[in-house]
Amino acid sequence: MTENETGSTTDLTNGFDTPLHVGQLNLPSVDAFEAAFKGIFARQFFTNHGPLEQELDAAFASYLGVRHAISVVNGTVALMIALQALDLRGEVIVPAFTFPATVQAIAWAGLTPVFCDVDPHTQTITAPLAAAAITANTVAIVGVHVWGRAADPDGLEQLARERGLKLVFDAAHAAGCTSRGRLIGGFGDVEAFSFHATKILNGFEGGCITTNDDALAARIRVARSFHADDDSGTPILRLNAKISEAQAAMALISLGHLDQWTEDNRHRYERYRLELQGIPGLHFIDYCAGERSNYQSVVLRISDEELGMSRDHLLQILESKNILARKYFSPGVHNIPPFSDLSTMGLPVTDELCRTLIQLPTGQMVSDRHVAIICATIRAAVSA
Amino acid sequence: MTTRTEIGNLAVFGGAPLFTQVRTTGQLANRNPELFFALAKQAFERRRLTNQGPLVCELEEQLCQLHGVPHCISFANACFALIVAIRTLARPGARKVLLPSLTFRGLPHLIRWAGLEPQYCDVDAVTHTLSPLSVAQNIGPDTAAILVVDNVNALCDIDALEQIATASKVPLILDCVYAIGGSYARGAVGSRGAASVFSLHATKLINGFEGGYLTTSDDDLARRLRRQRNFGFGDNGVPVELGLNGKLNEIHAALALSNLPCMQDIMADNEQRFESYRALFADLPWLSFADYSNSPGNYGLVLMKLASSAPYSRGQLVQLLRAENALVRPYYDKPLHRGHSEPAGGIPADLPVTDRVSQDFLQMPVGDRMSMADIELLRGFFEVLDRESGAILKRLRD
Repeated sequence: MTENETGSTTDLTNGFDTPLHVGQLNLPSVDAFEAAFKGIFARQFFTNHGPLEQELDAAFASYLGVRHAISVVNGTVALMIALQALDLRGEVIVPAFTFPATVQAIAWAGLTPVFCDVDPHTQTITAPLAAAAITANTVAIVGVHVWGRAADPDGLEQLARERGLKLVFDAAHAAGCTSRGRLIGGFGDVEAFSFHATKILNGFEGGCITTNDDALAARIRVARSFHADDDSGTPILRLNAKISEAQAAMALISLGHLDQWTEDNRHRYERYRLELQGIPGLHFIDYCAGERSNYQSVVLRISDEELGMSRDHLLQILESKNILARKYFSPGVHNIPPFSDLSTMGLPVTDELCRTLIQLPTGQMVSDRHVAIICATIRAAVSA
Repeated sequence: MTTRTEIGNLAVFGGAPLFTQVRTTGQLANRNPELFFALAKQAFERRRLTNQGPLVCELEEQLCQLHGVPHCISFANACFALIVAIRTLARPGARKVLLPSLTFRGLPHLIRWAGLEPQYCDVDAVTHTLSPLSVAQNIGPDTAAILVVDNVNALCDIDALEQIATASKVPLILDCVYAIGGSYARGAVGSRGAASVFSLHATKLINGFEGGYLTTSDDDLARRLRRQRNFGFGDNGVPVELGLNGKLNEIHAALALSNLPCMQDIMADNEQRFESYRALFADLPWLSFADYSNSPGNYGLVLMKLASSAPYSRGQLVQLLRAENALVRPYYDKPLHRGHSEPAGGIPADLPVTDRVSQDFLQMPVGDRMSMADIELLRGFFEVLDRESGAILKRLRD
């Protein structure tokens, strides 16, 4: 990103010459990248469950403290494969306040999503909210650890156990985050991570399925490619879902930088809080005290009345300065095709969050000065 | 590498393998790593690693030119291309997708991911591609699509198949993974049917680590598939239909872009290897090769045929060769209608030609790891197999 010439010297509110995005886009050194890729080329092992995939699976499982980590081509496919491997038919309770892929994966696995509202504070589903949505056709619950904040894993595990349901978590945001001190990855029956370039663990694209269930892991390993013979007796639907050695190499390098990149994210997050302090109507999404977070998202709730302008108006002003803040997630998934055809009961909290949340740029390319410019732009906009 | 003078030296009996490093049935080309690193560096400098970046756009443009089509849509791999194409093109209300049984074992799974069911048809005895007669016999009101597979030794009878498809108003989707570089009597491979799908897998002609793409001349189909590979997002950033993440990333595109200009060289090298196989093995009466007279010309696979007079079964040959690190494969081990790896529900089929052909062929080592000297070594190995067949078979049985 390059700052506007004027903005860099006299006026912080002139924005940027090139767009500033919300994704992490963390990169290792070119030297580290080249060394890893020269290794791939020397081995002539480009994909098909190569040594780097195996190393990544072992390293991520070890990091999370789970029995199995099974890497795949991307996070959406991780959820598709995980759900398919559970061999279910029926309805799945899921929040509409999530990235569309969470719900799309349910549909691809041949299941019917049933939307559930979220808690206004954690923005995730909770056991009481999910319990109210259970019907005779419910077979599973998919919780989403939005912004890396755990989706009530203890409560949902108890509920799933009591009601005989499978429990899956979309952990796309949650690499390196904890719930009651325990790293996300081993909750429920299975969890699915993303290694997309915009996430803190960058595999260009990529994803990973984690579980402590040996039998389920065996099915998922069969399902992620057409390589192994399926002698399970109950053949599973399979897909080429392999992560390549290129993706695995990048994800492994990223895993090595996870602590540093988390610290850098935390620093940026604190800078934003400091720079925006005192502006009424801007409410930061807190990361729980006592828990680890990767701080990969800087999210604020906008109060129109207090701020004197709507979230969407503020977004327009920022966009005009090449600050591509986003209204994640909007609209709610219950309002987009094909799920808008489902007869969903009212989701007032979801609707309110979709109307009021804004995500600000962060990640490796966002410097302290960038944060200062973004915050000065917001301050100028609201005081105009 | 070692020579074999006594059967005790065969790897299957404990000797050192013929090849110290495995020889595979995949291409594994990586012809211009310098260009790859230059392109990857550009991606790093732009911080653009996925989400339809400039390298993916450049690759799609070059592939449009290669195939002479207006639209090329890249995917994370060919499977995603096939799933969304089948799902989008399927006739509404119909459930069955016709396809050959002598093919990649993933295809029925992809049809099921698309929400449909496979129905197998027989193949032509020479080309091993979908038999138009069998398709005509099987097509009906419940046929949602026809999935045709072009083979490495022969292209399908596209004119006849298109005629049947058009008459029945059923879309024709082509799996052209092994047909890249070829031409039908009319038009390049990739330019016929409703859509054609190709692979950028490392074992295929253009190595992009993993990857795939679809070509079509249908503007509306292209628009929908571009949307579907990116979560169904419309122009305003809101999904307008069901989608998934089927995107090709920039680094995979960089490797494909580095190899694409070498495609003709790769094909020429493959042809030379194929001709070498054919010449060196010509005097072994129990071996021959598939008929390549209607091949797409990429020689990405070398299909060796075992005569009924062969002293060894195909399984025994596979065992003997794989022990030597020559990772041959049956072509195909079990035809899909006989397989057990597919979820239940497949429609039983009587496919006599498929059953017969599926017994006969072996995929021999090919690709950039396989030198002419390696083929000569293999020929020497077969010499021992031929000469000592009685003793070898006895010892295998013991």
